[in-house]
Amino acid sequence: MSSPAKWEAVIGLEVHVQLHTQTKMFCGCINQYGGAANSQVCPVCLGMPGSLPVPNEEAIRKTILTGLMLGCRIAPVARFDRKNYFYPDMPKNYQISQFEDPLCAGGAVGLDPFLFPKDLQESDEAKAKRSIRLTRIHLEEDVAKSFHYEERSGIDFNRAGTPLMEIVSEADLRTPGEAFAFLGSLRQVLLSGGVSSADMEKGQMRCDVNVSVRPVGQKEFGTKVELKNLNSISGVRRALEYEIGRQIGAVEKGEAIQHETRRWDDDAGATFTMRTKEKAHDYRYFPEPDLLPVRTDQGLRKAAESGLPELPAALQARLMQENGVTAYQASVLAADRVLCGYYEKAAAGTKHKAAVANWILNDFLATQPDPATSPVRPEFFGELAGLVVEGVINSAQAKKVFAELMANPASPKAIVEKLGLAQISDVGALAAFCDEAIAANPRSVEDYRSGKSNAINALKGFVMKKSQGKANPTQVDEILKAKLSA
Amino acid sequence: MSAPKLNVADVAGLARLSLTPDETTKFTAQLSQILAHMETLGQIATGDVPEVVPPAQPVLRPDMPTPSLSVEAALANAPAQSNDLILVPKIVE
Repeated sequence: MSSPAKWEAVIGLEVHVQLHTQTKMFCGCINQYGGAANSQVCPVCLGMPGSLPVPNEEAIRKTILTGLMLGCRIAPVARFDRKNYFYPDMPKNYQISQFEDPLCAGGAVGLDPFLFPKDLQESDEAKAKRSIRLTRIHLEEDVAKSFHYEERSGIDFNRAGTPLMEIVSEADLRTPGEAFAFLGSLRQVLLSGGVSSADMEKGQMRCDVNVSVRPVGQKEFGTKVELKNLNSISGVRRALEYEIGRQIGAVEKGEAIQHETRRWDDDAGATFTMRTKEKAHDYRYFPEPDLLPVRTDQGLRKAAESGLPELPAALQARLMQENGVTAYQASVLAADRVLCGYYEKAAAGTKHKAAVANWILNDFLATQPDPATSPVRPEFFGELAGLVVEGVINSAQAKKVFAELMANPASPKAIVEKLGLAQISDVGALAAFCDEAIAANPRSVEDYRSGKSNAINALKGFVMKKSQGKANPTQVDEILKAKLSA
Repeated sequence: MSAPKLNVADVAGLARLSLTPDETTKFTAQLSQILAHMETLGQIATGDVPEVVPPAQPVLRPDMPTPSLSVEAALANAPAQSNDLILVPKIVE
């Protein structure tokens, strides 16, 4: 039986990210998912003899930007290399990649506690806020898409040659939860820079995992296994949980771990051997003779620097400090820049920035809105929060205003008027209600005066009923207490 | 100057070439001579010679779409096709 305390896992990730560009890496064919098969191809991306690659400046800029966002060293001179292998999805029989001199080296991804799985957010591993080192980031071209039939395979080259960034981590991760948080945190950074949509379920971010186990305290790594076919961030977690358990079970039974590639089957919830790695791949890398080295120190780095966004960690700190939102709210906002922009517009014109965050992240988000196109103008939330804080309406009335705001977007002030909701804060009117309540409930008055302070609730209820819920509860409380102690 | 270790059978395998044992022996001898000759470059002391960095940026392409081939033209040389896909022998990793 596995005893987790005795074993630890060592995990490294290789993450492929599709860059958000108009065109492919080395030719002007469009880089867009979903076109008719083989309609976005040309002699360059079909690997026809005599064609020559010309690098896409934007793809290089976005890779450097990613490196800057993750604290990497940017190579002043980077080179492209040929990675040689035979596979029908790669028509040149080599992939243009980077081997010796990648664009970025080093760097790290900080694990955001709120990007751990929900059930682990209070755990020690989430609170540790570890930083996971990166080995390198390089730029290469993606391969074609294959469809496998009974006897043959069919190839669509639309994806062939589209820019693909590979981010390689050090073997610093120790748990499936950390791997989950790494991918979420990395995705947040990529989104903030507009580098990629990085959605694993759409294949915009793909991840290979290397995992081994060793006794706690041992320095040497165990034999590593590579996992493939991981199609979601939670799939990565599930696959690792299974695979780590499998390896510990095997080692405890005295079995040796095979150096192999295993395929994750999400439906079966298990990994299966794809191929054993008896011989290391020999890709015979050599410098791509069709491309000169790329100098990043002649403007490319500067161009990337000018595109540096406010990074998720800095954004979260600012929202918490300046707007008083909670750490959790800051993390949710940092994860969705469109929503965050909406919130910032909503909060801009009001003092009640934390209250606005509650409205947007609790009530508004629950309606599954598209903040980019919502007819509900962000300023309305500033106004709504103000109406509550300033006592014009109470919180029950505010819920009604919110419902109306979603149904027929209009200024909350106008809605309050239309629905006749405004809270009664006029002291004279409220005092009249209170006198009525005292006169009609002698028993409660007596109870209150004899020390049962709860008895005042019956009087308040009477006032609320009489005022059709419009009385300002705080004021009613004050007036009643004053009258009863007189 | 001795040639670096060379395994012609391995290299031929990677390049999907099938060589007869005679050819393997012959090419091993020939390639060894070529590699030994190239090794003479190693005799030059380059320790304090700075690396030559290309003075200028290579030509880069602005991220602007250019026309692609028509599907018909793209598939014109394909030995087999179906549903606008290029058909190849089934290969599953």
